[in-house]
Amino acid sequence: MRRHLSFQSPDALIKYLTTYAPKHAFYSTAYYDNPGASIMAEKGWLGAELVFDIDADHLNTPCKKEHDTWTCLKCGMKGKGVPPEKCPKCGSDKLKVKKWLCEQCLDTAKNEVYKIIEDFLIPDFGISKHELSIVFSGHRGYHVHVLSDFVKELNQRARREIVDYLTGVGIVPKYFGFGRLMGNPAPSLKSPGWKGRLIRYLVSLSNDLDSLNFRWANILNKNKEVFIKALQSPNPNLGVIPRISESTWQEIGKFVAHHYSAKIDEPVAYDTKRLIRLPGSLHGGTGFKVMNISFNDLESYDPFSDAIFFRGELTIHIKESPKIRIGNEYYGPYNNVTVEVPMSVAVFMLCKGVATLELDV
Amino acid sequence: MQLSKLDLLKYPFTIEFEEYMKSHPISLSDLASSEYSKVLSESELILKEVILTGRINQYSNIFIYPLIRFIIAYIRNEYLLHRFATAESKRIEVLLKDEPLKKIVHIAKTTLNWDVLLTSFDETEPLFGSRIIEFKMHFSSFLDASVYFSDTWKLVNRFLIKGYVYLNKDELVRLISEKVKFRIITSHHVLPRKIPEALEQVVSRVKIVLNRQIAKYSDVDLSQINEEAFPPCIKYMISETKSGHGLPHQARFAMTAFLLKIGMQIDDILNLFSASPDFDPEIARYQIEHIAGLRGSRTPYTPPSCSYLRTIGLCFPEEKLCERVSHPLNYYKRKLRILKGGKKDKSNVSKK
Repeated sequence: MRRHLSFQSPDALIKYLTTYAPKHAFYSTAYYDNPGASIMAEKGWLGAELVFDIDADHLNTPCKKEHDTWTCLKCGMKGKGVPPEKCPKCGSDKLKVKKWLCEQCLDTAKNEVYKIIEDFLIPDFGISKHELSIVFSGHRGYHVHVLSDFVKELNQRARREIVDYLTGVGIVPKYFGFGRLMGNPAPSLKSPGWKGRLIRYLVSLSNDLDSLNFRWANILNKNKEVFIKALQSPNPNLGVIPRISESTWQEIGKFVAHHYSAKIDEPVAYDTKRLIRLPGSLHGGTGFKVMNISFNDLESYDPFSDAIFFRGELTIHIKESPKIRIGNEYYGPYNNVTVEVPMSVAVFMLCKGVATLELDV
Repeated sequence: MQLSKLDLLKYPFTIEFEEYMKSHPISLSDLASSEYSKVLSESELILKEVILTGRINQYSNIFIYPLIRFIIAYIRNEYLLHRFATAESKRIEVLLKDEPLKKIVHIAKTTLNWDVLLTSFDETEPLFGSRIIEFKMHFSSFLDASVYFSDTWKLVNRFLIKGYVYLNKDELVRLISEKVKFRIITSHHVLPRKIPEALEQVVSRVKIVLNRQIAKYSDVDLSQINEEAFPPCIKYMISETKSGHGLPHQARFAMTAFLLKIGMQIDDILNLFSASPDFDPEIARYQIEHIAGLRGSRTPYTPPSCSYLRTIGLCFPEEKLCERVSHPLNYYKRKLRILKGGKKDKSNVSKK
């Protein structure tokens, strides 16, 4: 990895990239007095961007079970989905993961982007969509960059507070009047900030009660209608649900705050320097474009069409792969075949390590 | 909004005070002359009182504050610096609480560069009902201002609407006084090599009182307990406390609970805190005994876990071994094993 590079102009950067054609290109979110210094202490930190990294890696997507595979490097055991901590066969913790991507991965990530922007950044933080830059990461997610002036000099503690706000960490529900005996004015669906969010998350909770194992979840399930009705009221009264104490309501509040709030790669947001993919480059693991998207274009953005770069065709030999959509066509699943595919598909398969080149001898 | 001359005496940290000093420059030799002998003696008295009681009354002359700041910088003692900073922040906190809202906002905006606004009852009533919430502050200013005092100060527990955090007068005043304290502690002075004789004598007399105060507290003997094995968060808290920097309440709790759990004696813990700028031995002893389970609810308190420390902003500075543990006690046990030899020191090897 070549680090601590600095360029005097965009042209100089482009010249370097076209000369060396690196597989991946990153830039530092930090602003430095002397970015080219090879010792961190000499760079002179001036500030940093605030970036939210939303990736299917941190999201609960059931499609992982279908298209992700893991292999134990020690005994060779394979499995599907998110790898366990240790190999169930030999106990080794050295597991290699092969990640794939599909619409569900990226739709889930896109929804998370909307959640962060429309439910947090705009109403609570007062950041307008013009101060945001959204970047498709080239793989399974998006980066949301906050460009406002006031984020630049925030220190790590301040960024940590922002992350905790987005993820509901450290929240004390009763400070918002949330509890068995509601405060005055009582929190309701329309209340601003976390006050209303807690109630809105309770509504989401009411849909998920079957899949939760807590004692209180069973009680809420048995009283589901009363529960939902209470939440819709302009003056909700949680006390109508029997057998749930004040302290349990506080636990429920903390649970929903953490469970339904933003799922981001936290260190990317709270570090005051971070390497992040360079928009305009290609992702070395997929061959897709790492590209800027405006907020208005996000809705219709389809990475499987809009992030495609390569043209032409190529014949490759594919060992084993799930299917992938490129443009309007699906390719795969493949199993031990030699086939001619569009170049973008070929590059993707080769980068993913599931295919090899078929070269004419 | 204009600050009066009386305001300058009350709030010497303001930009208006700085401007006044620029237009009325005074040198050290002036201050050492007989013309300003009252200023000199007042300053000496105030310094001694700060050292002994941690309190400052008021400044009767506009040059007292800059002279005191200079003397403190010249003496170069961390305990004195923190003791003064704490006392000064308490003094202005009390005064600011009685000021009209417009003056408080003015000071926050012009001296501290915060984005603070007055609220209207129309906007606060739907959120807070009848509670009076006088101010709103842009979250970037709020985050610049706030130190972790308790969980009510976490951003997630505040009303944040369209970029503004709502807070009442007491809270804003608290933030202002804490920021002033921070500025005093982190300030740099250009010091001359030589100062006038009269000043030198004041400095010596103040140093005598200071050294006597510091000598009251002996060094803590941690021979039974291996200080080297302490997790970095605890080490940091201890070093801050020992050098006379006051810790926020939650940090004192975490540190005390940890040290009690690993077997440190109450008297030794008391000694550690004795260097705190606001140390009161009776209160401190009561609190430590409470945490130890000797009072009140009679349950000894468990030291907080890493995740809790992270949430309240006390996980600092992180080390590689921290990745492998979820509790400071576990860090301590592992490090002890490493230090006792036999086990390879993997504390610098990353988990990944």
